[in-house]
Amino acid sequence: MNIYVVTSDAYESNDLLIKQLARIVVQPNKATPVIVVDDLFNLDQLSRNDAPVASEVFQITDFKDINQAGGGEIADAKVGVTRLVMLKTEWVQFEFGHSDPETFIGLVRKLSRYNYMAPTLRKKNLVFIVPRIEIMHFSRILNESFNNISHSKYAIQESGSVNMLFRRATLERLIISLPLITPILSRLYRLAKSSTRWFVKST
Amino acid sequence: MKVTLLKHHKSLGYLSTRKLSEMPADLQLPHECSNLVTFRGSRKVKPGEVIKNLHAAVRPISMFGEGSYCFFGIQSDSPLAPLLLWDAAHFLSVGQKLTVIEDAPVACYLDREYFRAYLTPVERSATKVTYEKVEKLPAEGDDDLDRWTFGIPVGPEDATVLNAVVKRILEIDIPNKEIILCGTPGKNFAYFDQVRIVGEDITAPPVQICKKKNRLAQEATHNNLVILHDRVFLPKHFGEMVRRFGPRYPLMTLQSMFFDNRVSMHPRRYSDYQILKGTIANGLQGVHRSSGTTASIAPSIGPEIEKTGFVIANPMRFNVDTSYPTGSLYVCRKEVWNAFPLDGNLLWTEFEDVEHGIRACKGGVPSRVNPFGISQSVTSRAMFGNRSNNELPNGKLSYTGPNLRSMLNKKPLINSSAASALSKLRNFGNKYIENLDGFSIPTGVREMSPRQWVTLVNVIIQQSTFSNNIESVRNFIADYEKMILLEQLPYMMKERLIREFIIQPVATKKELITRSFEIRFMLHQRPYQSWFYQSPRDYFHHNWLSLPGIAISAFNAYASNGKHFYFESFPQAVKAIYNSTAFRSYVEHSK
Repeated sequence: MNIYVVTSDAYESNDLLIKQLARIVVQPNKATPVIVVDDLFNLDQLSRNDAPVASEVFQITDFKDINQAGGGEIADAKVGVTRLVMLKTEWVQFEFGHSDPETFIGLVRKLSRYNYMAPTLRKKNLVFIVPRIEIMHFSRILNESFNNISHSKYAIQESGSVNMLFRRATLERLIISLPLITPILSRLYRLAKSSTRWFVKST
Repeated sequence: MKVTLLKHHKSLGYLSTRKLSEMPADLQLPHECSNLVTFRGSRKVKPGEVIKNLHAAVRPISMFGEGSYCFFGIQSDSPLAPLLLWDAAHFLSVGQKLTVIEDAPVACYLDREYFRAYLTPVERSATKVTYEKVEKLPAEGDDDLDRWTFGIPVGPEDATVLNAVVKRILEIDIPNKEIILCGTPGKNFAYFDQVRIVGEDITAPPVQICKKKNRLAQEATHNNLVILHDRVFLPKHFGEMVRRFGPRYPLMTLQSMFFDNRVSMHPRRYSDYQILKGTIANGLQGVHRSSGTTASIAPSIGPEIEKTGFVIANPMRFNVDTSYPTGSLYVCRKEVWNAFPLDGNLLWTEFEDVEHGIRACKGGVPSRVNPFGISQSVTSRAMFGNRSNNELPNGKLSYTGPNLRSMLNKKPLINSSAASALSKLRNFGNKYIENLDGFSIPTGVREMSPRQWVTLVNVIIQQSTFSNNIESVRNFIADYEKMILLEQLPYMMKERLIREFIIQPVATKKELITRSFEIRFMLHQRPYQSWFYQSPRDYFHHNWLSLPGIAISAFNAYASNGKHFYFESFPQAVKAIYNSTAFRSYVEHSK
């Protein structure tokens, strides 16, 4: 699966856009490639005489049930999902139009969840057509939703998470090895938990 | 067979011989091996040579003699393996064999593109590969370190600093040198008779820096090549440095020092050798300008590339496929450069140096620092004057930046005179203010305090008028960079501003100056002193008053050796700083 994020002002027509994108040679990647396209450079001229590439276009309204539900299940998007299941073309376009970013984020989350469970989209090329102003923001969201992205070694060092893990394991070992104290500590823990909940509710 | 035992410098935290398992007693070598190199000890085999305190800034080429070489466990035991294998491949004679043996399957660095046509694998198993050298590698065309080409991309701006840079190159202890400029230098350039000018056909703006640097490499007469920016002051003993480091070097650079004052106090590292903090753009890709392929460094993903983060690399460490020399100074063999040139489709500030360094390393050309001297940057960019991450010898991160408590008189912050800045401000006003006659822009003043300047630009920004649509906002931000900030805004900041103008245009414009990170950085660095120069000579150090500063800076740098700068010894630190200081005499007595 390749994901293309294209600015809505970068192309002339949907048919031509797919021909242009089909010309892009995608470098192999361990994750699902997310390709950000804000300019088609010379692909515009090169692909003019190429044979048409079949694609299916989805509008944001095809997923309105999902968006209205705001957190509902993927099955709620009756129209969209029915069409996703029936997909026959290799290229699928999602026209985002000028809806607000929350709608897009909701749609991407649902699609990635659908993709997690069903294989339909995994051999397709997904094209998201978005406003230029949001292209980076939406590309990040797509990347984070369809991929497990790597963390820098410096961020891992700085987080100190391994030290925390060892401290926690040591503490747990101590508690487990002192059976007389365990019931007292677990009661104290439950008490602390319930009082925190009460405090959060009351504020 | 001679066994060479390598031991890492302790400060690096790399594996020590004590922590590694022993070399197998029954180690079967596939061929007659004249030199076995390893980090592993052995009770049965006594090493013929022990090289201690190994780090990336030293080059143990003395261990490479005649005959064939074998390396045991080198890639799994040491991050320095690519540097060692590069040297081994280059000092191996044609017709000889080189074997790399590992405990577990590891991709061998010598399988990379650069070596492919010259080292032929003759035997390969999952953990062992033997190469035969069939031809000399590109970097070993000749070992003559007395012939160098120095290439400088230039523009038509004032050439005071360029004159000093060229004057210094002419003084360098190298018998045969050639200086090439790519582009047309400023009218006051004084050495037209000493340089060759090429690439005047390369247009600007936008600044096609990659095309210029590639042209310099193509035009170079000598095979040893230095490509440097016109603010980089080379050390007087550059010839001695490169001779000590030896021939057949990969992509190389020098540590670069910058002093924000003219008495050589409070040095800091400035744009020399860096590493990526994480995966480029978190794996997002863009489209290459001409090849129709995807690329991890492309104009469409600028903000995300910037978000990756960049760290000033420690010269004692090596980080394969993530470290790169910044574009300020490259020392490289012409043949190597032409095998891995800069991507001519990228423009200045499009992370072209990152793309080049990473691509070269992935292709088999690692980058490293020659530690026997430093360069100094005469000028600096105000945006690079904030606190930044710095890699320590042990690989952890620290911070480096200007000394904000210093009360010394500083160099100019912005490479422009007040008159020129005010003239640009007037142009901005003409473009964006309905009635500019309403207030005056004092284009004739010689000096402006930061308060006067910030107050004036704030008024101009507040009074400016333009349509609130993406094209107008983009143009406004571009003009704000060129005519007011006189600096390049970070990609992330541009993206943020464009998004803020759609949500709350009134507040964004109102607070553009007063909440600007960039203006705050500038105020941190120069709260009271004017940001502009009276003359470009203001960047040059006092001839005599700098001397105590040089000694103090060398002492401080050597006292924490390796933390920010690496020097061999205290006298070498003094020599390195003194020999690379741009003294005022370079502009007083210039031709």
